[in-house]
Amino acid sequence: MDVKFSEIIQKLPDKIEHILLKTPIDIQKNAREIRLRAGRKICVIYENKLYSVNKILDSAEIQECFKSICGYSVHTHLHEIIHGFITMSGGHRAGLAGTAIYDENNKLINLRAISSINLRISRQICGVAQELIDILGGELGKLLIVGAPASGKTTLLTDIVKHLGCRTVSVVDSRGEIASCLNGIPQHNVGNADVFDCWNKEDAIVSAIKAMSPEFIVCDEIGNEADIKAVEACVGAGVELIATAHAGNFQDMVKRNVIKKILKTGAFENIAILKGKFEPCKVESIVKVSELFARAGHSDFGDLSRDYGDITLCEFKNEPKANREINTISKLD
Amino acid sequence: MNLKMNQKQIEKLIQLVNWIKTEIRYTQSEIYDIVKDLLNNNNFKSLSFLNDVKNNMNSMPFPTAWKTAITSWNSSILKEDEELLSSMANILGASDSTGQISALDHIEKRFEASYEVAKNLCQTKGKLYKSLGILMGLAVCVIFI
Repeated sequence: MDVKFSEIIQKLPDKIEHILLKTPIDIQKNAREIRLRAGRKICVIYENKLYSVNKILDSAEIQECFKSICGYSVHTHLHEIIHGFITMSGGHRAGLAGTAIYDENNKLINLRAISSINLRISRQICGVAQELIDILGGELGKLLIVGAPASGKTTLLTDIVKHLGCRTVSVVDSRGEIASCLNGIPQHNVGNADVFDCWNKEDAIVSAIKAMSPEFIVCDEIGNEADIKAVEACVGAGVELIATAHAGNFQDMVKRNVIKKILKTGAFENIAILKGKFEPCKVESIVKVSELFARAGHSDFGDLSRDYGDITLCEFKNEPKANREINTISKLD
Repeated sequence: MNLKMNQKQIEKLIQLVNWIKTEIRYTQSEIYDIVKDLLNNNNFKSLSFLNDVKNNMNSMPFPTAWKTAITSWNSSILKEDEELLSSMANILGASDSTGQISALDHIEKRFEASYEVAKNLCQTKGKLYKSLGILMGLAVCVIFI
């Protein structure tokens, strides 16, 4: 039996656990997600394939799974539930979908009638950041990692934090995915980093700068207006930011106005664009932010949504550092 | 039924509900941790069912663990109070803090009402039983003489 698979299914009611224990071992070892959906069969996602378990869950069973995952303590996890996830021991997480409840101010305050649970199996992979570290010559600060969902952004970020072990690092873990703290203890190896678990980014960054004297601040998934202020707090404070953002590729990234605004703050010098979910944690290319601005044609960043037909990205070549130039916005031959 | 013990246990249960409300309100701890902390609190030593709840939780969901422990508790409380205590299984951990505290407020009020009844019973019937006991003793002495 796979340890990680077993860890996650132990959190489910006995009946469902026993059904999932019958999953073939080779599927267990490569399982990435277990999908529980009301009125549909249980599915295990592995190696981009789907293994369907011959058991259809009804609503009551989904609710029981939800309560079991919460440790029968909904009140403890309410903050996470509102954000659509629950962190489980071992660093795993349960994504939730259901019926939203809003208050009179149109603020999401709760979920009810959970209809889907996505159990994401956490397999911290050590060493995935080495490639990136080598390209950047160990200079990881002021780095934005951009990629599509499941491209390995968070896995890479966690490995970077571990690599920075002897430096003073504050991790802003808004969604509990980097360190995956449970009762204050990181479930992932994040070295000696200080973890701000489930904080919003601006509050955490300000607190970290005031109280933790960080050399690096690491945060996941920046990409909304509130994050701009958070990023600005780092600029000029002598702290280097390492963060991730969602975008399928370079073209998608430059279309996102919020990303443009964030890059304008000057908090980032390099952007690492990942290949995608079929090659998770692999770097497609590195973009220097200064070059991007230079190519935009004028100091005011400009409209990067227009088609940069003559700007293509140099493909990352697996060459020794000495032979490789980092300044990589150039035409492909 | 031991009237004094009934009164004491209901008093403890009121304290228990109050303590749990505080934990949920301020620490928002998981139910398992709340039960563990209750066991470490000398004030609740007489509520022996708590130990069974903790042990039961290793092999069954909390609501079942709680109800099973109450059923097998050798208590001096009335059946309706036992049912009230058992009903807490459906409240604890089942909703947000505000909802749970509101429901526990109601449970606490009902226990307080039971406590008043138990206290009055203790005072009235207690005296009666004491007097009856003395009279019985005197009667036995007279018969022997």
